[in-house]
Amino acid sequence: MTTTAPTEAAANTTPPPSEFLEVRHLVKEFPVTAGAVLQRRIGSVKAVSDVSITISRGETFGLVGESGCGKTTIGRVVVGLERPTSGEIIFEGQDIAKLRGREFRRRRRDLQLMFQDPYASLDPRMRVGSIIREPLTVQKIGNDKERDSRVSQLLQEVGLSPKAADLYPHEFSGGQRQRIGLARALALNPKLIVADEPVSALDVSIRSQVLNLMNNLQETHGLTYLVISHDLSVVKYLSDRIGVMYLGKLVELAPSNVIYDKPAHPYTLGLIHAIPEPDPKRERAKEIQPIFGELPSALNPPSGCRFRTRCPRAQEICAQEEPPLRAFGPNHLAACHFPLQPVLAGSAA
Amino acid sequence: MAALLEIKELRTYIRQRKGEVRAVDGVSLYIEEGETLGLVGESGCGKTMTGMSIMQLLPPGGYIAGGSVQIAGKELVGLPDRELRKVRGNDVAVIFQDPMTSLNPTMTLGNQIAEMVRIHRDVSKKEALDRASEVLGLVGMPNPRERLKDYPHQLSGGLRQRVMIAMALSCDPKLLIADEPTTALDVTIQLQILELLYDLKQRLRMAVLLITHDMGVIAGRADRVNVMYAGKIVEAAPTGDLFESMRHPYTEALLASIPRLDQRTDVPLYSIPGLPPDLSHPPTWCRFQPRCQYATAQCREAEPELTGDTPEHQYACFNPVGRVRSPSQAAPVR
Repeated sequence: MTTTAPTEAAANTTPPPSEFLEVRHLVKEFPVTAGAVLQRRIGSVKAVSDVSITISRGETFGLVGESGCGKTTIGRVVVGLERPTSGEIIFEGQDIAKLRGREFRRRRRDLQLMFQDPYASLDPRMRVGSIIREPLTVQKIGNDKERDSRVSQLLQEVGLSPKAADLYPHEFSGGQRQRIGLARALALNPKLIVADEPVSALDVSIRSQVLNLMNNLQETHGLTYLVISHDLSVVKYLSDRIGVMYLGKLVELAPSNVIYDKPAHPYTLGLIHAIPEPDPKRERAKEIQPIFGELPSALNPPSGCRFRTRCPRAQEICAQEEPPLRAFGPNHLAACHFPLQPVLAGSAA
Repeated sequence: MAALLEIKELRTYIRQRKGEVRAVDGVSLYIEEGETLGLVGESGCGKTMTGMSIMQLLPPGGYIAGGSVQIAGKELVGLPDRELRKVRGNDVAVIFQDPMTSLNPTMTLGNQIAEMVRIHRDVSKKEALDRASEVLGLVGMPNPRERLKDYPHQLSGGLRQRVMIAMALSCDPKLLIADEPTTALDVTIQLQILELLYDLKQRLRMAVLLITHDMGVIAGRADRVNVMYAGKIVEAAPTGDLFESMRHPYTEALLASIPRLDQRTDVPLYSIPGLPPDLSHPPTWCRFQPRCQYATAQCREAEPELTGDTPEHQYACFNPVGRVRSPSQAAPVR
């Protein structure tokens, strides 16, 4: 599958095709309009501004951040639900942001999305069997009989009875619905599943069932996950590496145990501190340095470092210069002028 | 020992077309003055219905089928609505989960808070507005005077929750019912609001009923905790005891299934199999029995009562968890 006419830029920048998924300098802007009829464009929100990440085959990459930080937008761009304003999404050596039509549809088989809300993401008027069969129908895979057996196989894999195929979504609990969503995402044998807040809508006791199921399926299917969540403990449990986002920027990127043990960015530390732990002793002994203030408007983000308005370590330079991502260890990057960890010598990216 | 709030054998049912749901089925609890009681459980366990039964703000079809609710010795069950209205917002105030939909979008903040003050206090409009800016200042709203003329849509979620708290505080309630006060907020804002509630409770010597599904929120803020499951209280204990030496298998399972930040990721999380029972036909034996790893034949014969070695630590279980067993040693089910 060689592209017939590689563009000049692509030819120059294409690295050895070792990486499974590479997001390069991704920018996504949404227009902001005013007026009921004319919809004048009065500006744009940079939901994601210049984010680069790479994900290796078989790994779980976690994106964590608060509402409006752009994490969901990245997920939607990666599966092709949104087109990037600029930047590249290189999936197995191919820029999927540039694909169109039939080629694009084919590629999408490999990239599936698991949604946050198990109540809103399943059509209430379709039987579960049809919901799971739909991707196969759309992609014209197999005949009716093969599709039926695939549906019952998928239901068993996610821990439901094949009889569930004849029932409607309302007959299932939240956790079971999330299993149905996972079965639908698996139907096309994808290589990458983007799980956007996979357990946020679920109760604690059901949550761990779904998290364990996701881990098991990853092993048996050799899946790669991009897990998106506001909950650092969920992301940390699932992920090998974690990216922390703030207002459209990637502020820190590290292996998940490093993020927790040695955070370099003050925002990451603030996030860790903000999570209430189910342990009264530790919770009460915490030296809390809460992140003060509110999230600034994404329409008009602060100059320089975007976190400076809420940062306890901010100084003058933070308003003037945007901090670059610098290395703090193997696979550990953070963008801060006054980091909590020593910068690795000779690092200025 | 006169408790501020005393609930005894409360039963709150909801009439539905298909039958009656026993949302709260014999709950007894108390809150001392100035104390924070955490009420924790999963969705549908009746924790919110318990809170709303105190104020008798029940959904259509909901009614109190039995039991008693007393505030400072005054019985609320059976009180006429006119009398109840004097209690709501005055002795007892509520803050709800969703700050986005709990404020009136067509009224300024000042008028919303002043309205409440004037219902309960005989004051002029101006005095009521003064009180409004005073309580807004109390909850850490910047420039409270100017904010009086703002509308809810001009505020972020965190600030709206502050307004809700300000409104609840405006008549100096003795008891504040906080129903999932931070669930809709981002974690950094959640921490700010929890700190604020804790600080206000200390300063105003107010009792708080903190209703939440989040064991972490409970851990740092509550003096005592009641754990609810399927319409009943299954364990009641001082916070430290509950986390260190929980006796009910449900409490143990709940704590073990939360991924922690220092969790080992190569070990599967403990997960509770199955689902809670249907509360329109609750079983007559232990309600947690089908999901319990310690269940014996006895558990299907009778319903365990709340008992315990001390009056402070009570649990409803025939085979309570031993003190030495820690949740990580519990056998994973799948």
